[in-house]
Amino acid sequence: MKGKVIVITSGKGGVGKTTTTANLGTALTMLGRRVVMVDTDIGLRNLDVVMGLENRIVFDIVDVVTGGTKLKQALIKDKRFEGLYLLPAAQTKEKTAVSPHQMKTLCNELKKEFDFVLVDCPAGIEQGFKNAISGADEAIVVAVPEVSSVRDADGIVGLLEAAGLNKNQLIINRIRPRMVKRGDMMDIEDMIDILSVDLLGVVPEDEIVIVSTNKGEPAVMDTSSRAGDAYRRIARRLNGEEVSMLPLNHSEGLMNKFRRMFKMASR
Amino acid sequence: MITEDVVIRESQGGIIICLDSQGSFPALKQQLSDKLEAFDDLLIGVQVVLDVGQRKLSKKEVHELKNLLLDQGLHLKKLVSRGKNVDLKDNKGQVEVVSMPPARLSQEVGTSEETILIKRTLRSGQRVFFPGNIVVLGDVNPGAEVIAGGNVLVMGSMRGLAHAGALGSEQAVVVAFRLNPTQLRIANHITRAPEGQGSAGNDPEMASIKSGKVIIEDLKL
Repeated sequence: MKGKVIVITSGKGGVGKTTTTANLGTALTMLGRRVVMVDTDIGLRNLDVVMGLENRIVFDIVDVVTGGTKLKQALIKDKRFEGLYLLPAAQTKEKTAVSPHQMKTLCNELKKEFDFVLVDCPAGIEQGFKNAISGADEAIVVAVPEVSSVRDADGIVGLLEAAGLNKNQLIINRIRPRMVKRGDMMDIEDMIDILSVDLLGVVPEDEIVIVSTNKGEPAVMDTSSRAGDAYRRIARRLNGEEVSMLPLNHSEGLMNKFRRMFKMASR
Repeated sequence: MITEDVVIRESQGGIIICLDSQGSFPALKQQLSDKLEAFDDLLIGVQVVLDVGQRKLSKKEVHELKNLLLDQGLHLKKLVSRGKNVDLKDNKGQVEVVSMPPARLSQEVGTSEETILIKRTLRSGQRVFFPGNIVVLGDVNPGAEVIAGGNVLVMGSMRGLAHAGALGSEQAVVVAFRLNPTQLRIANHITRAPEGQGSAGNDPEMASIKSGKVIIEDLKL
């Protein structure tokens, strides 16, 4: 059995890398797959908090790669789901405590045991990013519909390609359907046009995500959450199923049509 | 009219710097240094042919010029002298010194331009510099930079920064299937799209300098 290492990255901070990792990890486990989530944000770890597993940490990724601890000892078993594990980042060290080479060895080790290795990448393009992508087979780029986020995502895709990672998929996070309808939000089509990568899914803005993050329970566990539903669909796509996109941007508002006509006329 | 004492031109795989014969050496050195600094780090690693014309250079002066170029990341490949005025002795073969008659000047700095093809989309943070022409088979995204000594041709959307004729040529043009750059430069002219609704033209367009201004028009061949 050989799994896939997927790095979840964005360049810009605060767009939902960690939330995406936690939700996809949980949703994939709910589909019966064995998943390990690796937090590479050394010094600023979050994934354990979002998963509600903070109080179970004894050893971390630095303990493992520097050889002091066995991998099995450091992996934290999720309290709710069978087959879901977390390898936490170290909180008191720096990004340089791990090298890309060590990370690659670690990923290859984890790949033997799990179907999916989800690597939560830190923001930025420095050592932490280089570490996170070094063992990856493919990448998920998370972006929100804002110009700055798309700009950074574009830079990230460029760096991924330069590192030889060519299977890069896009998740557009925190979209607000009403704003899209009004034409006040960046168009999904425009984002894909610039980034020219495959769209893996679109996640709507959802207050439940904030609540669930604070509670340490991923939104996919809440069946009433729209974001949770979107993540479950994305997980099924990652699992190899064909799942249709949520009908979000297909209904073009009358105002938008009007605007477009006006734009054409004024040219 | 003020004549330029330092002229930089592109050539095959590098640049040619022509130094005028008049003026004192320190002044010339200062001019060369100013000119190179204006290029920022664009020229790092580029090979240089230094044409010193009729100027008489001592061994020490050659050495100083070489170090000045090195400070900017340039490699002095060849030194061309239009007379037998350069002290060749004890050069230790570090720089190839060529003497040639003035008549061949125009041939040496001829219009032979090389072109490179970039077969991918240039993304934010990526930058391409080439002394000749650049053809991009893909898009140039916002935050990416394409800088050419010659012309820039983008077979896709040009949304980033384009600089044609970066070594001074005002004849250079920027052509793109969709020309929508954040900033467009030709030689030392800098322009940007007007504020507000950018022209989202769907036809190929060309930017060039006409009577001292950068103008954009539909590409008609």
